[in-house]
Amino acid sequence: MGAEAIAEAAVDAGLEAYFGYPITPSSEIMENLALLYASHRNDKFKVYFQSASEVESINLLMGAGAAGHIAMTATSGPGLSLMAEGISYAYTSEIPLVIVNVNRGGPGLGNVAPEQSDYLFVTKSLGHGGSKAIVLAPSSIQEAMNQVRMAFELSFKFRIPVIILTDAIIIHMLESVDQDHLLPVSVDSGWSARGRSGGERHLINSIYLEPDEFRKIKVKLEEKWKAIEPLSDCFMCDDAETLFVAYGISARIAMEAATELREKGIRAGVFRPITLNPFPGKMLMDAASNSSRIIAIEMNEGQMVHDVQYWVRRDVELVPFIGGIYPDTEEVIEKCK
Amino acid sequence: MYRPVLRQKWDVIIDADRCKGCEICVNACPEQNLQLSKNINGLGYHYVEFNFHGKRGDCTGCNICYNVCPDYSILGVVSGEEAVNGS
Amino acid sequence: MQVKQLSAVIPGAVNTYCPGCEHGLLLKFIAMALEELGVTEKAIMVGSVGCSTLAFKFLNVDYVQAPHGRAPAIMTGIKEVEPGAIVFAVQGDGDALSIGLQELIHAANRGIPITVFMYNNMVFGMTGGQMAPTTPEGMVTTTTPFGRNTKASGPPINSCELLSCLSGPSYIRRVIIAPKPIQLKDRVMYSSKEANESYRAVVSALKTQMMGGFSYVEFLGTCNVNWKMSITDSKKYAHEVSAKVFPPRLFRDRFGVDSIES
Repeated sequence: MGAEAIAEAAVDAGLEAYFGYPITPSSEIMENLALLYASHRNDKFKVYFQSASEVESINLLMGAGAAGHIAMTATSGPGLSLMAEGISYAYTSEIPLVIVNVNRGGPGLGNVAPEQSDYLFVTKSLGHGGSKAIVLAPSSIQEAMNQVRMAFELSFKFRIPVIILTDAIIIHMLESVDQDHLLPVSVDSGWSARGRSGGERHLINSIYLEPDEFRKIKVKLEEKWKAIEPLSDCFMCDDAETLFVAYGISARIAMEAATELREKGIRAGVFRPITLNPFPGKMLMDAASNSSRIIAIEMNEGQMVHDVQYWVRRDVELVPFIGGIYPDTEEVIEKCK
Repeated sequence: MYRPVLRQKWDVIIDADRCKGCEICVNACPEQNLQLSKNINGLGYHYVEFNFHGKRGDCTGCNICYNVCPDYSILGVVSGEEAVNGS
Repeated sequence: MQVKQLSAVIPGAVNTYCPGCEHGLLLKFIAMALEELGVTEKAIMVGSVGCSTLAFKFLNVDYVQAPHGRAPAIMTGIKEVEPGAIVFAVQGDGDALSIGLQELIHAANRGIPITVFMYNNMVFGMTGGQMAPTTPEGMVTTTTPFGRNTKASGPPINSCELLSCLSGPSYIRRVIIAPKPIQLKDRVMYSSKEANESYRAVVSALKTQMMGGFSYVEFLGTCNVNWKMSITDSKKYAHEVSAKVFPPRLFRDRFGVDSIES
């Protein structure tokens, strides 16, 4: 199951600390980790306990990350809203941390059915001040496992928060995987706060009262961000006349629809962003250059469609699935007629 | 023959650039050895100055000034000796 | 003549506090205590938001900055993954008891070996003197210009008493750090008893952490700028008002490390 797989992948890849707060539909990840912790699957996994709120969760992650250790949590929309403050601090303080967000129905308490309605939140401004995080979106369980490992690496390589944006479907679905025992990551923690230990003190900080000082920091952070390479996947999109753009579980539906349409003689393809932030805009431009129709498919009222529109500079059609209803291949195919 | 007698003398080491003229040490000193200077330091405060022979008596090396200073501008109280005319 | 300076203080650094504020005194005592206990190289300070934010400009230990109120959670995260470090934070009364009350209570409840030094001056100092959870009834602040109204805001919170309801903490103490003005025949003299007791409380709190317990010390200090008083008057106010609303005493000392006689 998705939740099991993510938990096992995290522990095998070298997770050291997990702090979480229960929230449907993400609680299974934490429950699986409790069992993996108790069974001593990996000696590196030394710290596990349930925090008192998501506010506490993100700050526990920041503490562990500031001390240079690999820490992770899993949450859903209402919890992620509470973590926005901490993510903003972690962005400027350059603290690595990983959050698995299981997108449920929102805004508000919503429902516990799947949606992709956190897209704007996690990609455009995950916290005040223009804070951002690398956002990875898996569309299969194997990919989710690989992305957990990648998230640990990226968060330490760039000293930045990383969000893995899944949804209630991926977490609860059953699927077979090829590689279930991932290799551990190795990360560099020389910069972290573990005590002076005879050298210079380490400062993990996000307040810079002098405007000149702060400008230098912000320029440095922007430069660091630009060095992050976006990732995407192309499914039959080289010669596609009709190009679907979708991520996560919607991409699976889009691929099914594209395959069926090809059998009917319509040249359809799917462009699937893997990093939602940074968005693979140039790759999308290339993929869309020969397509006459661009159709965004997402489980929300229309969030990613704006990014697609920005990059292809044309009108983009939308197939929305709102309210937690499961995306439907038939409806996508209908749109193409 | 003249033989100098040595007696213990204390010196309060002050970093005047840190002093903010709050006068906590001035008020806490039992022998009144500390006073604010007429001059000001780089921060714009009248900083504290030490006199071994205080208003009430000589400095006893009690260390109270070092303990109560909130700005670490009193860095310590060190002991030395001074020669006193004696027979 | 040169004197050996404290290793935990940045050479030549001026702390950012107003003249007469005991916050700087607390930081100095922390530097002295770390040296006395020999743990400066293992120390990690977690900063909070308020007057204590800029402590890193004065203290020379590893420093991780926390959002407003969240220091106990960040300290917990650090201590869990680095159990050999000595982790402490200086929080104001607004940081610890207003926005951060939940984080403080849960960290205290877990009894994790960290140390919270709470500087209580009964206002939000850094932001200009607004009401805090510890502002006494009737005290004038910028957001309570007619005095704190307990009907609307409730009475002030006694944090040591609150934490004493939990079994997690191992050392809970309240001390006055403001010197007491004593009227002598010809002048007002300041007592040094408060400074000595506060230093011993800092040492006891850190010792408790080294022995595996959670420690919490509340320091009753002054804020003469936001109380709109002279420095000497603010010391009087601390002894006449603060000490009555928040009686200083030992609340808990599981490992028997407290060394204050009174």
